[in-house]
Amino acid sequence: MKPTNLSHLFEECDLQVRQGIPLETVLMQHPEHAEALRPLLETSQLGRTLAGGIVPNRAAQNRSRAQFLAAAAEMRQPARRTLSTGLLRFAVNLVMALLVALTAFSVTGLVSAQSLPGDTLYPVKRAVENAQVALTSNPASRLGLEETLDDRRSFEVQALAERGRSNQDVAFAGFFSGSAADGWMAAGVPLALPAEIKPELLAGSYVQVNGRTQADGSVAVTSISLRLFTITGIVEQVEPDRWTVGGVKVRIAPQTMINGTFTVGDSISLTAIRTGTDEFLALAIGPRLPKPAMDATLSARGSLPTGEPDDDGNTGSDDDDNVDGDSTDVPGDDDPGEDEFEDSEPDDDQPDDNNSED
Amino acid sequence: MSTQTTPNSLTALDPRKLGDLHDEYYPQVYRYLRYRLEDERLCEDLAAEVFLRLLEHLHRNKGEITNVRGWLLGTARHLVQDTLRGKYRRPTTPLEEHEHLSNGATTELDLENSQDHQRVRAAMQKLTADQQHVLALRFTQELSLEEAARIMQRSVNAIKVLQHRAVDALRRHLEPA
Repeated sequence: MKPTNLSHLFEECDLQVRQGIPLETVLMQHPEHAEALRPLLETSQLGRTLAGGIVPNRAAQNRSRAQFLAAAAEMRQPARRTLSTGLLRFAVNLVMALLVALTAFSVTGLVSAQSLPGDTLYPVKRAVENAQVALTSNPASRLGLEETLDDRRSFEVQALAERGRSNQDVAFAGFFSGSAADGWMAAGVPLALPAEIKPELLAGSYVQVNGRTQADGSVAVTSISLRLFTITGIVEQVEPDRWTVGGVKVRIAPQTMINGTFTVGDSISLTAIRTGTDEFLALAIGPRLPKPAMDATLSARGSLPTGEPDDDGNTGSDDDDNVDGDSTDVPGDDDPGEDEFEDSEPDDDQPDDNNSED
Repeated sequence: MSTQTTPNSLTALDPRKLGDLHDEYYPQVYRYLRYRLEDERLCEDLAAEVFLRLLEHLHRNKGEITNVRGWLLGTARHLVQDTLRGKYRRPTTPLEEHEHLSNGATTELDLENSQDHQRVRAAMQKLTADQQHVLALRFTQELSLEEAARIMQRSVNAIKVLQHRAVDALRRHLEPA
């Protein structure tokens, strides 16, 4: 038999073996070639059996995926910056620079940096801060900045108290602590709570407080809610009860609403509450949003059991009250990438940019 | 996801599509690499490198890729060749070092499989590059002759002959000296 014919026969018999027909049965169909075919088919079987035992390590696959998607995200970045967005960013930076210069070199600017709620230049100070937050895209850095600004808000409230400036609207955030006997506080600021609020339910929570300063140095609370954080970034690690997103570790509870299926490398947005100095608990997880959702959605999530709904939204939607700016959007359902790959007829494309030849 | 993907849906570097692509093809690329190379960690690195090269190719947008699997396996093949060239003179590690099993259990059957694997891999490395490539494609990917022919840019008949010779050569190298 010519080798070419034997090649065809081998392929035919090998296919039958792969389909589950016993080797002996296959060979019986070609007794005149059984001697030549048997070792070939046995070798082929051995090769396939061993290949079937190769299973990729899941962690390595996840690492590769994350690396792959991070590189893609990096490559996408310049393409996304259109001329208009580039100009917009330039304009924002220019305004920022002017504000910073104004703040640093003018007497009024200096006053602005040290201004307190109610001062004429306080809105300038807040505008600079909001711009800083808006320009910080790294999730971990952004959280760090928000934490700094939260601290600043509570210091401002304490400064108002020291100066005896009462009847001033304030908004700040911090851990809720205290007791019925000793009084309740948020970020160390004494609070006068409305009767309908049940403070025991808030103990240990990181809360957003809106209220008005009083002569005794406390703040008369008008609304109080859980402070919500939005973390947007690439999923770096997925464990059963903890994910790492953009360098931030977030705890996942059974009640966490996970809107979709996500793995390492996916770009997501999640809404979380703070459960400790460096601990966050995810409330809702969804695909990364093209733009922030409505604050109204949030306030429903963020409201605490005060006995009545908060008409103001109370998560800082008011400019003066807004501690976290745009950081309170909730992941939604929309998925910017629903369309699937299109099918096409295969062709003979081969890698053309590799650096070696056989 | 289809095994054939048009370039337009990839060149936008949409993360969801790229994630799907990675999920689908990583095991195939890894199996190909692992069948041809012994070092597990190296295979993991090379598999990741294959996908990064795909990304670079898509980013540059030079030319179309309508057979993504073919492109990935072709790139994996080049990386294997590069690796083998660089490692030809590297001393092989003793068999005993490879008798560990992924699930932590050591059974006689596992050990036998591990030894068989070493023998097959050692025999494979004595084949020509094309012979190794065709066997890795047929054994690890369950590709049809037509798919293998497309990836290797040869006729189906040529692949049949190449495969036959490869298996025969492998058999000879597996025989006790």
